[in-house]
Amino acid sequence: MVPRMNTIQTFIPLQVFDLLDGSSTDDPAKNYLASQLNYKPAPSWSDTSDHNMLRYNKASRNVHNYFNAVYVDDHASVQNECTYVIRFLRENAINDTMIGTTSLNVIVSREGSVISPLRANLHAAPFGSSAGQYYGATEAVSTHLNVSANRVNEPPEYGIINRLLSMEPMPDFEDGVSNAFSEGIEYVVKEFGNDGVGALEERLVATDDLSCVAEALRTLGLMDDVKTAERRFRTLVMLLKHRSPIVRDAAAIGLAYLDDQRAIPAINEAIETEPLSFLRSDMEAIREQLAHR
Amino acid sequence: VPYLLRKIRRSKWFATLDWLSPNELQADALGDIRTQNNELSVWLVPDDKSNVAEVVAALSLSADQVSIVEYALIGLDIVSEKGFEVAENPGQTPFTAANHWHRDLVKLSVGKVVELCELVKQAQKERCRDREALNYMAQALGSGAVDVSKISGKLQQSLTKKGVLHNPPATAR
Repeated sequence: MVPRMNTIQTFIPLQVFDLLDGSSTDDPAKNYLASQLNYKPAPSWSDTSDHNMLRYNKASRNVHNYFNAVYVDDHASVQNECTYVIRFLRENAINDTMIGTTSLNVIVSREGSVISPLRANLHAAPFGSSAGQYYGATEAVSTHLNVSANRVNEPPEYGIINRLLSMEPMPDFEDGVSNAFSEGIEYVVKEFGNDGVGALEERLVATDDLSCVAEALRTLGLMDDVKTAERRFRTLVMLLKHRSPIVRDAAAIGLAYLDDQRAIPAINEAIETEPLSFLRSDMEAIREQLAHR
Repeated sequence: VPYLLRKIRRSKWFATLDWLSPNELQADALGDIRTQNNELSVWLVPDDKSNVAEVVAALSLSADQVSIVEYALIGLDIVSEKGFEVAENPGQTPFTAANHWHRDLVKLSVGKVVELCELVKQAQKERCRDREALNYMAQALGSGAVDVSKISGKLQQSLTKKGVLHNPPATAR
């Protein structure tokens, strides 16, 4: 049962799993943790009376201990990977289930350390502040460490996509050069198939970060994955009608990469409604390319 | 008049966004002219643009995916008039025969970068489609003037799959 949840102040995104068996309520058969570097099963203990519900074992570099717990004032190294694992011991709060993506108010220091969530929340220091700038905190952890209720049971692909869209720093996008963002998009599609593309489409429609949308669409067109080609095609066609020329341009490029002649009617329609002459010309060139593939 | 070619992403230079004032540029455009050591990599293109295919091949062979290549062509005369210093530094791309076309705009200050933004904004911008880029890469590879070991492993795989590269070296960078 999930009790009342507070708003979370986000600095870096984290993903929460059941560390006992790595399972999810959505997909109990899948062990999300087994693929983590150095993963070892967590000890089967849960001290729900423990106020320091995030305890950090400095001595161990095992994933399950990495963020299993963080004591106030302790620093933990941060790896660049998207996934961080946290063990919530309060079964009464989250019932030890795998929770899609949530965010904790954790700050990353210049040296790449995670400051305890409690301190991060209290001082709200900006990303990139040095560890020495944090001061004493007295509030109870439980008032700060909450999980957004509407994220419970959200499929994991949404969490990964959210993290990709909030990546800091966002890489520079250059055609022909893959980057952490585009590789993440590719991972989501290959790992979650059509569901991954669907989740991506949902998020891309909702976000205002047009350069990310454009990069994602180019990636959807460029990637090599037969199983999802049809679904990716539909997403690209849909976003040909986006309000932003940046997105329309990228959707057309994505369709050119897919090299599927079935896109021609949609491109014709886009040409008819495209208000920008240079985009119309580009789309005409793409139509020409598809017609003579 | 010869040109200096700079690889860009054209959509970063779109000035038609609803929130953008007329004559303004998206800040994302700065990502296309990111300097390193106060220098910016460009390519010399003669006025008849006869080497664009080579330059596109050089740029494409330095990437890791076969993709479109978008670029701006800035008149060399304007660059000179504005007081930019151009250094003849050979490129480091796998396409060794094209590397002599490479130049660097050097000693760039913030003010110069802002001026450069304006030049790119006004410049002719073109797109080479992925299929053309692939053809140019194939021609370059066929010429024997490509150091295949300098091509990324990912691109080697892609070129091999597309039948453009045969017998890639075992070790890729």
